[in-house]
Amino acid sequence: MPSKFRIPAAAFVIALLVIYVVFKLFDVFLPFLIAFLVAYVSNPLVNWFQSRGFRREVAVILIYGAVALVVSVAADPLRRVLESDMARLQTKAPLYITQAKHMIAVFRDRVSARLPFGGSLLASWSPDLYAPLIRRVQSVPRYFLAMLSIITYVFLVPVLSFYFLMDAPQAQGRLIQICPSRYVEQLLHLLDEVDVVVGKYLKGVLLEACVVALLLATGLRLLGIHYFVAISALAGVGCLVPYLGFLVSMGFGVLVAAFQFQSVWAGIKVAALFASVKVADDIFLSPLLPSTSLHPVVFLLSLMVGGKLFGFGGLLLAIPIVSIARSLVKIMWLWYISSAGMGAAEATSALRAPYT
Amino acid sequence: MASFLKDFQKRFLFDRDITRQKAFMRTIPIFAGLRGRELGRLIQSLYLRTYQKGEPLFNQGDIGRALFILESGHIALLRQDNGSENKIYTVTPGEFFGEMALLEERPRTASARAEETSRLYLLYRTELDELVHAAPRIAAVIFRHLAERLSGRLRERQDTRLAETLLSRAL
Repeated sequence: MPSKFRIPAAAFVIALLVIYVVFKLFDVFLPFLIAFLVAYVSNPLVNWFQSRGFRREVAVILIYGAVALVVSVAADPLRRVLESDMARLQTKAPLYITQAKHMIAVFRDRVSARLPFGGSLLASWSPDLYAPLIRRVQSVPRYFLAMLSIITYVFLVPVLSFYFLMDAPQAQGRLIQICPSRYVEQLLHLLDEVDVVVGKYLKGVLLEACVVALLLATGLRLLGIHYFVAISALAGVGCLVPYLGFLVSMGFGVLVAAFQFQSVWAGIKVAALFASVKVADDIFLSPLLPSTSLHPVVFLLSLMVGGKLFGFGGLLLAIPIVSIARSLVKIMWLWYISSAGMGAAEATSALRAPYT
Repeated sequence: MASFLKDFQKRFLFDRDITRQKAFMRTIPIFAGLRGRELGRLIQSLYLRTYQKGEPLFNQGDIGRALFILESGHIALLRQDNGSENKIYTVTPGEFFGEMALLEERPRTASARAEETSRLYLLYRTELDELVHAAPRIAAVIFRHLAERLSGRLRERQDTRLAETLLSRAL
């Protein structure tokens, strides 16, 4: 293997190994991943203070103080509402499912009474077809509650992210220092590409999640739907798993509305609200947000492969991992064409006029 | 009281290292015209690395992707002609080299080696590209200085060629 490809190839192999280990020990790594995410997202703010001459530790403490203030004032009541809503939803979910089955049975009877072939067609819909789906849907609040139990890490995550924030520049500096000098430029190229890709993905997803959750919370509140905070929060978190997350949260919203008002129309209204938010997100918001610019086919394939191989974690991490893999391949290609002298020929061949 | 506050700010709030780095960056011609906060932002786009005596920074023919700014120590620029390596320049603190890597990724025309333990800042091309979006004024100032240097070198080369042509015709 040519020496110039050794670093990206080695990085690729190391990245795969790291991903494998993280998946195997996902529970152990979860607080570290969350802390890293928190540190990564807050880092630009720390840098902003630092560029104005502040010491890094002062900037970190200032940000922590501000966040603690916001959390103590605003987030605690919201968390309590969210937790109680989720607990109630989990308790009532079996009732909702039973009512849903009843509604389907009533609907089937009505159709079979009005349409000659409708009855036999609908009778072939065995509950076995949708039972696995219902089981999955039932377990979603449990997943969400499990995610909320992250609150038990309330001391662990801030401490870890504090260390990540404080030591990030030194860690980066040490990495550059131990890298063989001839490969420093290549290592920086790699770090930069990965930083750009991960940064774009995180910024895009987090902004999208916040806006979608806010829009849905407002819409559901206006429609007078119970659990509007929980449903919109679920939809926000669902943005991390493209398509599926949104569909699951919409399903919940529709079910809650249908059972709350004992009317299919209420469910349709909620579905229309979700659809409008999704369309508005796709047309107006997504083009403004930074994205990984993966082709839709690659996007879907990554999700399916990630989900099949690693389940929920695979769905969650498929897009950033594929984006990083793509940027590594792109770097290898760029290095190849620049080393082969194919890069800048057209720039000079276009020069005809003499230098004046 | 006022002096106590000033002393407190200097000791506990503000980073002396960043103040020193900003002061150093002010002396680098390619960053001339940048304001204090812009220099602070620029410093975050630079990577600092120490090279030991004899350690190569890059070799002739390697693809260049970064500009090097020497803070301390000495760097020898060496060119290989007909199998022998000749020193063409010694970079001293406050000077920078490899700036054309910021414009295009082409093979380096010389090798660089640390003559003693040297501290250098690296401005990587993609960091400059990032500055174009995040802090366009900083990028514009750097590109303007790069363009001036490039233009100066082209003019120098053309003047030399013209002089050589005239001399050859005269002879």
